[in-house]
Amino acid sequence: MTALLPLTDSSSYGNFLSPSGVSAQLVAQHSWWLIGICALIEIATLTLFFLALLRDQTKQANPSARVGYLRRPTVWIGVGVTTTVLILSGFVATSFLTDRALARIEGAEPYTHIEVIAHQWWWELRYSGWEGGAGFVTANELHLPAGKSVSLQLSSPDVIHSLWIPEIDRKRDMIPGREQSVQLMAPQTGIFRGRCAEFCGYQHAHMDILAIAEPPEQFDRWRAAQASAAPTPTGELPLHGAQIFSQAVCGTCHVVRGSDAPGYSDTAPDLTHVAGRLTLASGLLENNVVNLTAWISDPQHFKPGAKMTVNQLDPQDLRALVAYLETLQ
Amino acid sequence: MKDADPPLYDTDVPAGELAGRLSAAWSDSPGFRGWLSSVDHKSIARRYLITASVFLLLGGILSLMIRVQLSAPNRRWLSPDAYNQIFTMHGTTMMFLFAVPVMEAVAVFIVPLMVGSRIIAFPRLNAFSYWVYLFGGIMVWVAFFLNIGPDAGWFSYPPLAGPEYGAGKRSDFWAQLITFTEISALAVSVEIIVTVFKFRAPGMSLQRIPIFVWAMLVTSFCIIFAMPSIVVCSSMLIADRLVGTHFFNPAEGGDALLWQHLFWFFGHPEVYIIFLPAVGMASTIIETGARRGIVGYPLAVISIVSIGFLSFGLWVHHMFATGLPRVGNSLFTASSMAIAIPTGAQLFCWIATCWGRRVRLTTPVLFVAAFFLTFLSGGLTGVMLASVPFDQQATDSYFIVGHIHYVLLGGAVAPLLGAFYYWFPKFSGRHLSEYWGRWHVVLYVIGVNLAFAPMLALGVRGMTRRIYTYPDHAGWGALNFAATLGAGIIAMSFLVFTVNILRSLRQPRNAGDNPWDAGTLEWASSSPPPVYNFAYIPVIISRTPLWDGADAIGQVTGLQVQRKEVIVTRGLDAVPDLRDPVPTPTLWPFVAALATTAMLIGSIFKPSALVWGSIPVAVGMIGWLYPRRGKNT
Amino acid sequence: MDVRHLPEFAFEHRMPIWWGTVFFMVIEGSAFLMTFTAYAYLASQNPDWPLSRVLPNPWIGSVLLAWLLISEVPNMWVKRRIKRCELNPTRIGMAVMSLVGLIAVGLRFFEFRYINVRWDSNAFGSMIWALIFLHTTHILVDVAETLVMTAMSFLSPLTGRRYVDLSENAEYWDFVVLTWVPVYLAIYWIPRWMAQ
Ligand code: HEA
Ligand code: HEA
Ligand code: HEC
Ligand code: CUA
Ligand SMILES: [Cu+2]
Repeated sequence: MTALLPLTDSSSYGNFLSPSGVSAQLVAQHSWWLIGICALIEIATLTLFFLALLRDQTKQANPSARVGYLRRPTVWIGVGVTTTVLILSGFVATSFLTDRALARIEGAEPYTHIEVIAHQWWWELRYSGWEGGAGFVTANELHLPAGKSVSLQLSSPDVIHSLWIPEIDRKRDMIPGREQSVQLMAPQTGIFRGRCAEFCGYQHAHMDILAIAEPPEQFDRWRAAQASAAPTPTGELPLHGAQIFSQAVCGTCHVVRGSDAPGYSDTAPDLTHVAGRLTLASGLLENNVVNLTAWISDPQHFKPGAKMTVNQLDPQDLRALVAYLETLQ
Repeated sequence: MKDADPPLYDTDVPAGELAGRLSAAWSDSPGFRGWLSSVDHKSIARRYLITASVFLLLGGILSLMIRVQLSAPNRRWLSPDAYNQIFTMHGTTMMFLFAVPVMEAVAVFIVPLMVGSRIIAFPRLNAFSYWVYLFGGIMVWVAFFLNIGPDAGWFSYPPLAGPEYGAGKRSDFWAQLITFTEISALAVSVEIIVTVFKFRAPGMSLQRIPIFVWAMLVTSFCIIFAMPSIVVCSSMLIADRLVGTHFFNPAEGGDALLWQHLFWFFGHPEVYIIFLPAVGMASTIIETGARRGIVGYPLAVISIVSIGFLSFGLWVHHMFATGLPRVGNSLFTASSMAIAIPTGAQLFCWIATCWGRRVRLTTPVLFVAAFFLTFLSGGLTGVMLASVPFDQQATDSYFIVGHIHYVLLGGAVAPLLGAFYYWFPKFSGRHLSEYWGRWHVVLYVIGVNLAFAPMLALGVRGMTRRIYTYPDHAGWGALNFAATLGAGIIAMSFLVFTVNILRSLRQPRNAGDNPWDAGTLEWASSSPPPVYNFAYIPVIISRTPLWDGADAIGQVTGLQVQRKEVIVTRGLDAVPDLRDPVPTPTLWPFVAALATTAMLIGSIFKPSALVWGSIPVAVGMIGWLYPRRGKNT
Repeated sequence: MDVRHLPEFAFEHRMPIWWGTVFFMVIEGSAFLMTFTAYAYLASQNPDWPLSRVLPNPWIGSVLLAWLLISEVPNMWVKRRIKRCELNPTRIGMAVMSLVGLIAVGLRFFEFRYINVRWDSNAFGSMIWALIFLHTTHILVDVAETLVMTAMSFLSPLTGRRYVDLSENAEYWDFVVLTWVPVYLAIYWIPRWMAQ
């Protein structure tokens, strides 16, 4: 469905100095100025220092200790300090203007509203309802309407996390007890890989989020599909799998809307449409049958410390379970 | 006074006998007990230096483990648990057990000599600070070896470090280590400030104080005003963890950001606490290398003082991504950038000092060149980070890791190594080899740039810090490999350094009193200095007395020789004011430090240890302060 | 330059130990300041500060405040005697100050019962206890020191430099008294004013 775009698109994290997001581009532009001028300052200062150090190496040592050769040192130092002050004033001003411009971008009318809730070590995403459907919960894949601004409500129930999609926009910390509202806009379609940037414990290294920007019509179709409950499985194997899902431990943590698994969508990723996702376990594994099977039987092998227990199922049941999950498009 | 003998003054003994009599009065008693009891600032500084070097080695080994793990994608050599402890211990060890103490070590050795004093103020407190530092370091490393080391990063943000998510005793060890280091650092700062205020040689008025001494004075003030902030927040963290308070618990009215404000109000000055002594060291080396006093002395002093002041107004730049109000953030951009002005001024003074001189390219001077070749990248990336939009992209990425190592290894460690070469003859009476010294510099500069420039690039490519591994598809492998190579080269440079030291320790003590032909007072004493530092306390009339002819240094006479005695001078103009008897060596600071350690470690396991543990501490303190023949403190 | 005529001790800023005491007071003063800052910060973050409905009862705290302020009278007196190196008045003054200090400690322990909010019930309670804990350690340390010094002043002959130590001790008491004023306000009155 959404896997129209090849996974390789999302494999790198991009480069915040040549990003595609409008906000990120503004920042990049400002950054290039900073970097360029700082490089010049570095070269100039190094040149001066090494000139001072080496220029007079052949000269006789000055017999008198108190007289140097630099005439009017105060004037020269004054020139240096004044230049420094001027350049820094420029930096402060452009930094301020860039920040203002960013604030203006964020003022746009949002297309939709999404709650992003960071957990140790996965992302819960709550899309608000719209005229075409009711709100729904999903995980780890942030679908966005390209070219439209969306408003994100950031929060965390456990420790501090930070949302960072370098290609699109800057970091935002997600601090327990403090909600932060931001606006995000992906200008073009594509898959942008982001990560949790604030150290949050064992699996901070594996807490990626995929931002999938689609044309608004496609986004609307996607969310309509997400809002619907999972289809009742057909076929013997998936049916058996569904049973296992609710009878074995899975259902104590995970939700599949439309099934009778009790679950909580804030303890574990909502699996209602898990088969439609590109990756498993916050960007760690490509979503395919092999990985899914391996993940379910031993998540601790891939993500030591992750808050999902090891499941010792007999191969038969495991196959059924996977077959069931594969139906959750 | 019990001493029945009439006082015997230095003018009463023949010149040939003076040294012998002074050593008799000043030396520690022999044996292990005497060693434990020493209150001589030089032996304590030597212990400090050696201990800090061991922690550098340990912290360095951890960093190499980090680099091995990250040298290629998907390495699973270290488990996430091990990795988290390792990077936390690396940062904590380097900042609290290496960088700050090592600067203090040099200061404890050099400052009294540089101001022409026989002692550091409150020598027993000085011994106490060392023991507390040592025991704190041992505590946290033992915990680490028992696999219960801290694992929440060197700034231990709650709630991750709090009671709910930081299970076990790990973060308690971290927070208690902070208590140890702050006791020790605060004590040393008071000692240094009072040494500079009250024990300067007669004639050393304010405008004759060497730059290094100014730098240490300002550093000490920064410690005094910054540390209380972390005293408060680390105590709150311990209380949250051990007795169930809610300072950082949002559910009960606390606030996780409170920690960040308090930590960084300390944490930012902390980095200048590491940087300013290094500025003083580089200034000293440049003055001697160019054989002239620093050009623009008043400006240099003013920049050091203003860096100290400004450092208290920048802490929010560590929190730009937390969602604080925009306007406030912009103010902190301005203040953060402003600190580049005095830093730049300082650098320009150095350039002006060298300009037109035939600077001797000794190893210490080459390390100042190494400073320029590395620190500039660090300082300038710092200026970029001061910009809010830039920082919000770069923060918590390897760009930060690059910045901090450029400033720390370039701005602080490079001058420190230079200073080590420079003062090694003073410490030990021996020279380090210039040949191996040049190898050390070259490898160091190459290593630092190769290790940390790739990190800047990695940050730009989205690599976040504090990750134990990364996937292949991220495309970070090559740059990480380069960084690991660079770390290896840095390690090699330290190996060369170690060999250099070991070689030199086998040579005779033949460096001479003033091998670099330097101008400041520490070189007026012999190398290494006798326990009493100066047979006669010098009287000076200029900032660089050793360059101003034989009669530029006068002598103080009229001090007793059969007991330890120094003079106290007036704060501003350094006119002699009092004769001050000096405390004798004693075991009590050691005992008090042991008792403090027992109390602090005990309180991790049972908070009530704070109560019963304070009794032995009190006994230790009373023993320490109890008058014996009128000699104490 | 000959210095044999110089005295061996003096009072106040001429003595290194005075500076030492001053800087330790600066350090502790900064710790108080940072605690107040934390208090103000948490109060500003919580619209319903103070979070508890039952507030600390001020009466013992007020008695302690009065007692500490009154204690400045003998403290000033003994400080003057110490600086004149008068042996017997010094001994008497130290004994009086020991007693004064012990009573203050007693009042403090009594005061704990009237705080009315536990440190583990909410952030307000935590903050209140942090303040009172910080101040209590100061009282305890200075009273213990006063007791030891009083004992010493009776047991050993007081040489000149002992008097300097005694005067530092008396000055530290000023600090203990002075810090109680804002801590007292922050514990008992500011929450009341904010609750209105
Ligand atoms: C020795 C230590 C040291 C020093 C000296 C500095 C120096 C500076 N630092 Fe750095 N910093 C750290 C150690 C240090 N830092 C550490 C350890 C952290 C990270 C903590 C953590 O998160 O783990 C950090 C993090 C840090 C951040 C937060 C990043 C983040 O987490 O998001 C910022 C942001 O503003 C910053 C800025 C600066 C600035 C502006 C300077 C300035 O002082 C630099 C001034 C110097 C120069 C600019 C070069 C010389 C000047 C000239 C040649 C004059 C001409 C220059 C111009 C016109 C620009 N630092
Ligand atoms: C002064 C401080 C200091 C110093 C010197 C260093 C030195 C080094 N650091 Fe470190 N580092 C920090 C302070 C420091 N660091 C801090 C504060 C952090 C943040 C931690 C956190 O996030 O919480 C950090 C984090 C950090 C990271 C990021 C970890 C992560 O985010 O996951 C990395 C990664 O490569 C790293 C690498 C290195 C390397 C390769 C060195 C090398 O330069 C080390 C080379 C040194 C040696 C190999 C030792 C050799 C010594 C001897 C042989 C002794 C001989 C001497 C005598 C006998 C006198 N450091
Ligand atoms: C103790 C709670 C718990 C139980 C029981 C549990 N899980 Fe999970 N599961 C989690 C958590 C938490 C995650 C997120 C892990 C992460 O990425 O860090 C997760 C992740 C997953 C994912 C990946 C979801 C995604 O979008 O990336 C799948 C698939 C999954 N679980 C399937 C199962 C199945 C099938 C079972 C039963 C055999 C099961 N889980 C049992 C807690 C649980
Ligand atoms: Cu979540 Cu890092
Ligand atoms: Cu900073």
